[in-house]
Amino acid sequence: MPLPLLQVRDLSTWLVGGEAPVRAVDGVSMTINRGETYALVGESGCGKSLTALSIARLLPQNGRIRSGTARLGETELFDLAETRMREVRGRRIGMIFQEPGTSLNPVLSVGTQIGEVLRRHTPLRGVAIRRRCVELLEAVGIPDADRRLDEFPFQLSGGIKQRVMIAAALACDPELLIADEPTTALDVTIQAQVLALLGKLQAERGMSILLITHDLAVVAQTAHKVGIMYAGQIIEQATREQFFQKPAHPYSRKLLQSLPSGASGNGELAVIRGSVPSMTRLFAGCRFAQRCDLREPVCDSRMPPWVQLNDRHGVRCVRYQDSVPVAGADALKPDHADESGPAVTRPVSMPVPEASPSVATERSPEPPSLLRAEGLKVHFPIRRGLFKRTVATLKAVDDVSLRIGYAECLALVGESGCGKTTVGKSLLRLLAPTAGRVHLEDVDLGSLDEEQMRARRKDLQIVFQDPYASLNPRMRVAELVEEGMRAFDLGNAAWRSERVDELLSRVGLSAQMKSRYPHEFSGGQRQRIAIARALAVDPKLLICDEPTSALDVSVQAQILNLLKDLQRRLRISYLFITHDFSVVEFLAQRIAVMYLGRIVEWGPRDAVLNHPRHPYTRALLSAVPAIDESKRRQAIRLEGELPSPANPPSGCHFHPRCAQASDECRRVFPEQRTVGEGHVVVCHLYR
Amino acid sequence: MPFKPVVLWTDALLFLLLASAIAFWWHARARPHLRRPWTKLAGSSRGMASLVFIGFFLVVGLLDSVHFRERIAGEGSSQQFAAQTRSLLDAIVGPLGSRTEKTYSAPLATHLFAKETVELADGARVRTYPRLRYGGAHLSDPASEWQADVLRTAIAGLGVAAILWNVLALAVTALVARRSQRSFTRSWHAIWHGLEAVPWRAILCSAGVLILLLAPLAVLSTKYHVLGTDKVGQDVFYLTLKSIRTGLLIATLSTLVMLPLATALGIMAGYFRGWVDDIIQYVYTTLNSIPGVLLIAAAVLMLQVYMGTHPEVFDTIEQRQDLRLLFLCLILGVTSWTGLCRLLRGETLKLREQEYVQAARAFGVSHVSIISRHILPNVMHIILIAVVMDFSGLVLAEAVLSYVGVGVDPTMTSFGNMINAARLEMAREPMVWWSLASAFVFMLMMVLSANLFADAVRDAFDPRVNGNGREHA
Amino acid sequence: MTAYLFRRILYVIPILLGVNLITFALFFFVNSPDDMARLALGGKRVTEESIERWKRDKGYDKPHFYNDAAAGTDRFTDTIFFTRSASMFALDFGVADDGRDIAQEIRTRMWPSLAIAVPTFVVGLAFYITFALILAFFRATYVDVSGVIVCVAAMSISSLFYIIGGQYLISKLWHLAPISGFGEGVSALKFLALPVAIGIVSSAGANARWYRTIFIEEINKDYVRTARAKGLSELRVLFRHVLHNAMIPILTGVVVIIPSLFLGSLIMESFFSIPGLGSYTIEAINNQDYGIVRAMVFLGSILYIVGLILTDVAYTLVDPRVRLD
Repeated sequence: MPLPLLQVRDLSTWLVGGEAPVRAVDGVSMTINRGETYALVGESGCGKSLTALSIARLLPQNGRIRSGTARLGETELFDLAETRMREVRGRRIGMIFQEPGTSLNPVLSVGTQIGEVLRRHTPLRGVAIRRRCVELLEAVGIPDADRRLDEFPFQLSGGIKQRVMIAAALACDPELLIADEPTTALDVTIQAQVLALLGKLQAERGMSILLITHDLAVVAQTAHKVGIMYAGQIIEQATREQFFQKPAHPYSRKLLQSLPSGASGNGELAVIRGSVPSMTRLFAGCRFAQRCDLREPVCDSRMPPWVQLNDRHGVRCVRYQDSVPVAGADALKPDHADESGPAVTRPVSMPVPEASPSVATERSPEPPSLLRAEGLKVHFPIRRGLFKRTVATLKAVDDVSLRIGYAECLALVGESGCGKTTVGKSLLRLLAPTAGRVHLEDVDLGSLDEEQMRARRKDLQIVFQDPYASLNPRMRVAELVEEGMRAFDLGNAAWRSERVDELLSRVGLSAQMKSRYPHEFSGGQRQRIAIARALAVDPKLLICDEPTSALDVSVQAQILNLLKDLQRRLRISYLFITHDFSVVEFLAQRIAVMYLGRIVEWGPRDAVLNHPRHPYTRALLSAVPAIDESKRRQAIRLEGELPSPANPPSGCHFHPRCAQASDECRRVFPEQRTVGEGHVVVCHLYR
Repeated sequence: MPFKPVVLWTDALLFLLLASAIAFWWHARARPHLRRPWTKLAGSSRGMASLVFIGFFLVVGLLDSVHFRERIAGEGSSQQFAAQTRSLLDAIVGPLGSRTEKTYSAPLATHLFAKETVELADGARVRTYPRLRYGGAHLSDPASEWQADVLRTAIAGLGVAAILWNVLALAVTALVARRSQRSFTRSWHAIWHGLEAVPWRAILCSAGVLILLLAPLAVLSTKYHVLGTDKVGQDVFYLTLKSIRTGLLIATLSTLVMLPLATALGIMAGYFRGWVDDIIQYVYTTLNSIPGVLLIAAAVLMLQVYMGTHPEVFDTIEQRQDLRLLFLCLILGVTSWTGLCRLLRGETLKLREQEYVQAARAFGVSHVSIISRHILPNVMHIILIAVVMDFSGLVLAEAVLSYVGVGVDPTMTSFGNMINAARLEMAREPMVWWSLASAFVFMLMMVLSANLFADAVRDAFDPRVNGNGREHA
Repeated sequence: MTAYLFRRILYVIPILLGVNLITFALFFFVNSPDDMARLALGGKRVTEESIERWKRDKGYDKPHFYNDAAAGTDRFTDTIFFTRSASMFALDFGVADDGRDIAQEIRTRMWPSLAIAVPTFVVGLAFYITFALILAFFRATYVDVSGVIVCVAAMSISSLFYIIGGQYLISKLWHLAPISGFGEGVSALKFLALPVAIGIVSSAGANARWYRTIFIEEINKDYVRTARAKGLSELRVLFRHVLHNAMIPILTGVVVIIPSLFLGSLIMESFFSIPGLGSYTIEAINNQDYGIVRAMVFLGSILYIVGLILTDVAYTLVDPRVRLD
């Protein structure tokens, strides 16, 4: 066997400076071969990024490598003097980071930032550097490269910025590329572009990639080898095929099952209780024991040894010790799993939701709807010039009509910047719509004065994306949950206090927690508090604005289960705003797809997911990475990015990115066409 | 009654400020999120060590702010009170303030600094350095006794310091022992090895330095003018102590004026935006554009005119000094609110887009409630940091303004006036250096401890510094 | 850019008008011209006639804003506000109490002020930034910690002590520079050295510490990690990446005071007897010459606003994201 490119042995990294050191990385070993992609997977805070930074010796000020070795080829990285290490960085190890927005220097031009790598590590100078930069930009698929070199990061979109990062990282043909969550901040269509680009570059150059990610679906599409990290340790390591077919560690299994696309027959997602333990403590036994369904007494007392199941698969769990590996794996298998892999089966029959009648009959006499929006427009003027004249209008929402029935969940799906959040806020009148009408039951919200509107706000509530920003850190849980009841002057203090207890238990928290402050809770718990706060006033419609996108997969499953359960019990309606199709599949009855301020396709969930009509919907669906290969849709690569809503393309907004665009698409905005039971598409292709 | 209390305007405001600080402390005690940064502050050795010094200045300033007039004659309704207003501090330091020499004398001197023609008992006239009336008056032959006496007194002072410090250390240990239910010796050990949450070691050390400095000064000052006397023969140590109140008042009362303005306008501008914001921004750009010293100068000049033409409004010198001081604080407050206002405006602009504010708006919560429940508590740390950071700057500003001639009343004791007077003294041959040196040392102690404390406060309260903005579980 | 500048200049007018109104109110409403006359002429036993004469000499005998007695536009122009305050827009500052033309006086006195203020500013800025960069380079080591302590100690000393101490040590004890005064041409250099040096040292603590905070904040940003991942040396990271970004907040505080350098420093000029605008102002305050104080207030405001505009323009030079339109 040839010498592996990177060998890490027993790496331990601490974060010091707090009361106790955080043992963020605790004995990690791994091997990456040449030309291979190794995916290091784990939830936030498990130490995966610090592992990568340790290898490059780029730890933050308070990070310390306590022990271990890292050998790149023949070089012991941790023995190098800092000046020698600098020769390795950029030349032999390239790095790209999660946030392309903040990882590029805002005041230096693209050319300078790529060029300085070349100047540092190669003898190239002057025009030669520029020429090479152009080549690099072309290699990462940036058109008009020569002009782009003189632009600054703020002039580039997110996807282009990440491509520039990649170009800079690859400038000196490194042997190893460390990619730390390279696509997490990007939209699915852009993520697909970047992942494809990385795959292509790897094939061309034969470099190795250490991919740090939390997204198992990305792993399934790109990795050769997978390492699962939990609380500072690698707990399972296998080839991709082995891992997805026979995940061994109980944590890995749960993680796969908790993906929304992996819902089991009863419509519930598997959840992992609790959250990741604090890394300041010392562990006697298995770190996952507290959350493990299969925990045994020995798990708490003894650190599980590393067990090599076969030459491509190892795991750190007592269940595999002393037993024939394969039998051990079988013993672990949850009962509803089948051979092809427990987590990746597509649920054959989801229970038909209660709201199905309203879904089925779009054209027949209108079913009673809870909320109807017609011709909703939200425009923001762009002012410029001497007297701040309006020179253009940013059409964030441009003629959106939608309808939500009783006890129905409508998912509003789209990429970031398409205006979906603005729709939510304007329905709530947190933003005043420029035009259009919103009817709640039979009341036209636009005709209400401020006082009347205040009374109606009871019926419409919202849950936000960021559980850290949506709770006032200065208020106790009880005060937070009570806020709405106080605003509407519901009941007396005793009644409200009782109701707070009831709401907390309904969202799965204990009533004892009500005198605590938000900072004592984890992200998932905070989101539960936010849901309790919204439910406190008995809303009829809950607008959920990406409520799970800031959460880890296992916690996301808890929240999705909770939302589904609440809908069933309270018969509440949801407008579920999201960019994530896998979540949609689990929760929604109907789907509306938004592009650049307009809804381009809507209809019942299965119709839209299984028979998408609009080219955009199809492209979007095909870009969603899937774990199950059989589920992968034929890839429709979407070129380019979302245009600016200040200057939308003429005709059909989608035509510049559409492979099937005709002349008519460029001129005329298409009309609505009904293509099935309640399934409507706005496209010239269907007439 | 043996005395009649006199409440000057500044006294009342200072005690009002103290009362509200105590009330806030009481309020924060029960709330863990409010208590957390304070606990962190209490754990900072630099912060606590400087707090000991600030505490000393605060106590002196507060004692000097309890004013009264003594009864000199009469009973019942026919009581007569002294024209001079005295403070509790004057009563405590006793004769220090009244033992006035003729003119300059050096620290610990027994003779005047300048030669004078003295008539001897036999009628002959000699030009010599006359003996001081009070400084070292107990010595019959200063030339031979002085050195030994000074040494003896200083050692006695050190002895007093040692006793005081030991009493303090034992009291602290006993307190810690009672709180933690440990034995006395183990608590002692815990304190000196830095095992306690509160850095008692640093507190005791800094208290030690303070006591070591003050006790010998205090003991020596009973017999000598320990820091010399000034041009009109007043004890410089006494003047220095009296200057503390002026500095303290300038620093705190200006803040008191500035806070409500900055807070209300800053939050309103950020929250309501639109024309409210435009107007407030216009006001502070306009005020900001006038050079601060000149605006203060112009205002004080006008005050002087007013005082000059309306002498009937002011009964006593103290009242005139007091009103001028109050007015100076007012104008300092008016010129310094813009910085904090702009900061609060920016923060409120950010906060109003926060999701918890949006959630409150979705409930139809009124603007007043949103501001008081969601915005204000979340900008409190900025206000607090601004207040402590401004403190030292204002003490320094007093000195410069007094020098320029637009500071406190020229007859009032203040560091600025002391330095101003010292300028001329420096030009004398030989030089009179002690006023300047005392003002320098005490002012440096005051400002340095305030600066160090401000740093500790910022470290404890600024979420950017301690990174507690967002803790992932 | 031109449209932007034009708009900014339009915005200046209401601000200057506000400044004018504030000073006008301060000088003419708090005390009536009678009061001022009485104080200027000394005490209570002043005859009504002499007060009237004083007021007439100064032009203070007119109504404040509106003159009933006059006709036409004179109703507005023949008032104290128009002749004394509004005229400043034309940079007509009137005459000082000693009869000299204030504008002329300003023109001659601004040069000595600039001779002190400009070197202090330029050399000081370079010194502070260098010092702060050194601290940032050695961050979290003893060099940094002790440097910060020195800064805090230095900023706790009143600037008056720096001046008195500097004059005593350098001039009186060591005789290295003249204690005060001012000369023309090359001879000015020896008079300038001490005040410039003291000016730099006296504000070193606060400035260096502030710049260090800015640098440290920048160093913790993501793009610095990217730069290190490219294998760049720490010095290049500091100079090429951090310094450039840190210039943006530094400029905010620095550029705005550049025009105000004309006004000189009040205490520095008076301590060193430099015939600049600072000492001119101080003399005016001590002599209670309101005309000069008002003129300096107005001039100060104009220069501050020019500074604000310059700041905006300076942004476009360092920050490619900022465009003025």
